[in-house]
Amino acid sequence: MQGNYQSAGAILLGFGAVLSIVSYSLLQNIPLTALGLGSVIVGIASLMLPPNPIPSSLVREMLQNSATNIEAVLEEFGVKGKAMYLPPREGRVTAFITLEERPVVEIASSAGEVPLRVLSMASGSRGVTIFPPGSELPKSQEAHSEGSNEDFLRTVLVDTSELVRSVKSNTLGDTEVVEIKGAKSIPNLPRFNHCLGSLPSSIAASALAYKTGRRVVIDSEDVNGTDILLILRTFGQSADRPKTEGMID
Amino acid sequence: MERNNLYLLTLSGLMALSTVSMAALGQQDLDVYVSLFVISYFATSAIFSPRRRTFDFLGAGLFVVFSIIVALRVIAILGV
Repeated sequence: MQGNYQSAGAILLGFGAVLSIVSYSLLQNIPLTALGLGSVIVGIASLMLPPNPIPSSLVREMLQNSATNIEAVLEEFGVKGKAMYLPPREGRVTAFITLEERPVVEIASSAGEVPLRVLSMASGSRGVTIFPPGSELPKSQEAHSEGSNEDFLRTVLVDTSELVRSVKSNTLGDTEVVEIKGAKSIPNLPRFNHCLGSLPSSIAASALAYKTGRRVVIDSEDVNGTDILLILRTFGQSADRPKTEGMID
Repeated sequence: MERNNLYLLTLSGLMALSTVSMAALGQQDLDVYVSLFVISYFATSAIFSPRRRTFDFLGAGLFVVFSIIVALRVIAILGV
């Protein structure tokens, strides 16, 4: 049925229209007329759905694969720090992670421009810059970026990726308290989870970095089964999505 | 099950249920059926929030129809 919303909708619309007209004008049967109108409504509703949507299970698989690849990179470099999610450059959010364990808040508040290359320096610390999973997701939801942070997080995490069941968020100054319920995918990737947070938290941080145009760090993350209580902190001035000419080395 | 499929199935189920139950009660007023359809549509849309290709023209149209039905009922009650 997934790729056939339009054909199913057209059939229901045609059938409903004929049934309601015949029932009302010829048979003068109100329940049958109502049945026809119901078919018309379901048909139009079906026609309005997007054709051939990518199954959410496939999107989740792709995000998980991306996280697995990043896990391998982090293992290879022996990364121990926590991620600082950077405002979008060329439309994509990046994350800088120090090789050594160091308070990320200290780096986020003092670091200058972080070069867009795999190995780079920020605030005197060597680290890696990666594209976190779903760094493209917020870009595809640009139209929704004018609303509240909660609306944007819901659009990215619930509507687009269908990675979680619900998202609530509250902004308190530079802090964003995010309550995620019903996470459908929390891959068991120790290094990734330590550095970038769990997959839904990482995507939430990326989305917030995109939305606010500021640096974002995960202040705390409490995973309880499929529910996550996440505290994100934003740093720096809102950037107007600056463009850099850096290349990935 | 995919959310869009669930949305369509729930909408169809609610509309079929409304039609059958009203027909069983001998309801011969088309306004009642349409009103129930409108409520079913908005309830299902609110629960599943399906992604749409366009602005929700159907919702807007149904809202207008529902408003007209309610207005006619109010006028009838007031006896204007």
